[in-house]
Amino acid sequence: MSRIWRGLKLGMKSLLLHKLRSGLTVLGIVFGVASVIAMLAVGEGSSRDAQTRIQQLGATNIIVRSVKPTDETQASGGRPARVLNYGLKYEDFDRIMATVPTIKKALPIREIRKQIRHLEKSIDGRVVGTTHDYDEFNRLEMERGRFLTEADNAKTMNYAVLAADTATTLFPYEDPVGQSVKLGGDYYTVVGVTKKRGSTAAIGGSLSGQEFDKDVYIPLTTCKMRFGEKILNSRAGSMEAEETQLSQVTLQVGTIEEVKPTHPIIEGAVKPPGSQHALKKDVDIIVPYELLLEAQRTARQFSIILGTIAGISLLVGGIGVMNIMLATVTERTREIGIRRALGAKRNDITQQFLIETMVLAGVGGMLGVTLGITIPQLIVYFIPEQKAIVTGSSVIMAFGISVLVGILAGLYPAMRAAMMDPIEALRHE
Amino acid sequence: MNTNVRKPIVRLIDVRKKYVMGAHGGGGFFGRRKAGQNDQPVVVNALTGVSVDFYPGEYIAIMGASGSGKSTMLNLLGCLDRPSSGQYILGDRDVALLSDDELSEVRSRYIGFIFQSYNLIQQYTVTENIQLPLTYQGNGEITEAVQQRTEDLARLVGLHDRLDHRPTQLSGGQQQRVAIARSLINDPYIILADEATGNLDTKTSHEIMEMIGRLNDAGKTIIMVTHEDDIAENAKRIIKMRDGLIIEDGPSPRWQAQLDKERNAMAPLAQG
Repeated sequence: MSRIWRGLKLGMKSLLLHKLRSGLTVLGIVFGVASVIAMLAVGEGSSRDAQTRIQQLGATNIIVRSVKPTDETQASGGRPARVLNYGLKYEDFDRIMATVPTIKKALPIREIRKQIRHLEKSIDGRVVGTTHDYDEFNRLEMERGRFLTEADNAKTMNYAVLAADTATTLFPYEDPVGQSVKLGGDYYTVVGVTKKRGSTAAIGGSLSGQEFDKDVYIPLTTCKMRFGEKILNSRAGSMEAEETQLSQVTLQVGTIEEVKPTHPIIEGAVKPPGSQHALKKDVDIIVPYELLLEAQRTARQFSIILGTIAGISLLVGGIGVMNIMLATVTERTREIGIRRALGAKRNDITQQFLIETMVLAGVGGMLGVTLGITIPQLIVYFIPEQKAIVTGSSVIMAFGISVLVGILAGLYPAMRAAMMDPIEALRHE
Repeated sequence: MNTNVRKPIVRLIDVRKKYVMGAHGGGGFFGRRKAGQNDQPVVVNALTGVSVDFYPGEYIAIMGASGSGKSTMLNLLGCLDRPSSGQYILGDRDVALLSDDELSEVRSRYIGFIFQSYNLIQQYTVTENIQLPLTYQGNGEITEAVQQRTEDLARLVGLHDRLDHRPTQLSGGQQQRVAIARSLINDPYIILADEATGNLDTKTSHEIMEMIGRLNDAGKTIIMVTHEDDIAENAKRIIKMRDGLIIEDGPSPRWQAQLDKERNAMAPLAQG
């Protein structure tokens, strides 16, 4: 123990004799290790970020959503677009429920942009006609009161549940529960207020982000009765009518394993080849679990690419160490001769130079770990939407590789030093 | 004072050493051979049969022109090299048969080196330089006793107030005194001095030789290689070499004179 300690101490001395040179050599390792850690952290952060976004949608869910067809597809639908009729119908919903056996729960949703009013206060929000499962599907929690119930739908009650921002805008000072809000021409009694919930982010091009905080939830049956299926939009002097029945149906299967086989069945039920939906392309089927797998694949590739680049820089650092050690061995030939003459065995010489390289690599590794942990924090600080997570395994791996690189880079120079003939080495100028 | 009854500490018996130049991979991995030398290796007979005994407490100077074999002789005596044939008995073992690691062990325990160019380790302090041979013995631990001995030796060579200095902060003479202390740390059988004063001015040379003389007075066996007559004069026995052979071996003139004086002083008693 004391021998190794002494070796370390004396090794440090030799390295400190050439501070600049040793420092620059260490720097190569520092950047190598730091980049491995930082890059893996960015990779890991992006991967987890994508995963949480998708998991918010529910991994066991399959989302069937109405999309407004583009002009081109409308034309191919062959109908002049005075009243634009598109999207999911109640019959589609019934067909899905009848043909897909694996579905455990289903959540039909109808969304309408509307002004929500209370006395002179108003907010431009989203009226969501839905059922009692909505809060569970979207992980909404109640601030006060209750969410919609099965009975509310069965009896087409004029009840409304306000989202957090809607509630604070319309009722800044009072308890909204028991008060009434006006949607379109009708009044609804507020039965509950939900807690604030962050919006879900968009996933690529397949699903846009959702905001929940300016919503008002009413029973789907009530929505159907009060608002009908046609909606008039006045736009820059022209009127445009849209006719839709359902905006979205969220389907839930029992287990993750059932997601994959269920997808094609739903596909077949909603838009079989030749059907209106298949032609108009007005319905999208989004499978968060498949997106999740895709995201994981992408994240893994991303991590491999980043890790490889960082690994190469670590390798370059190692080559730097080897280069310097070779130069050092040549430069210190005479010292090697002296040590051999005074009784150092070949192993002692090997050990001495190995200790020196390992000190270089070890110090470089430790500084690299520090820097590697700092960089992701700087990235997150300056680019808040980018996530970066430093994992323990990446730190251990980067440090381990740096020490390994140190040993490998030091081995050849050290053995070369040990194989020198002491007489020749002593004669060396 | 008859040396013959004592056991020799060094015995060379018909030692020969030949080098094969060219085929000899002196440069190691990337050998420094020149083209042309590959085809016909040149055999150099550096020693061609040397037999000599050295006794404890002797003070020997080995002299000779360059190429006479004195450096080879010193390398062999210092266990830096092995003879091609013949025996080298150091203490009571045949060094010629030892492995590379065993030779290292012998060097660290039984031999003290003093070199022409001091050969201190630049990044080490005086203390660390003096202790260097011990770090390659056994577990290389620096005990309290070793620390004490280091200080004593530093005091002996007059450098006890410079223990933490580095070689670059010392003069040539001071560096050579550190080297002398270093050669003593392992209490060796023999101390080998290779042109120990070659890099020093006359006055400092004189001091160093005086110090070596005192070590011999204290009972140390000293073997030095030199080509300067006045340095060799300090020794008690002078061996002259030429072409790998010892051509002359006898007491130095100064020592002879002293021996004569003693004998003359004793003569009346012997007659009495």
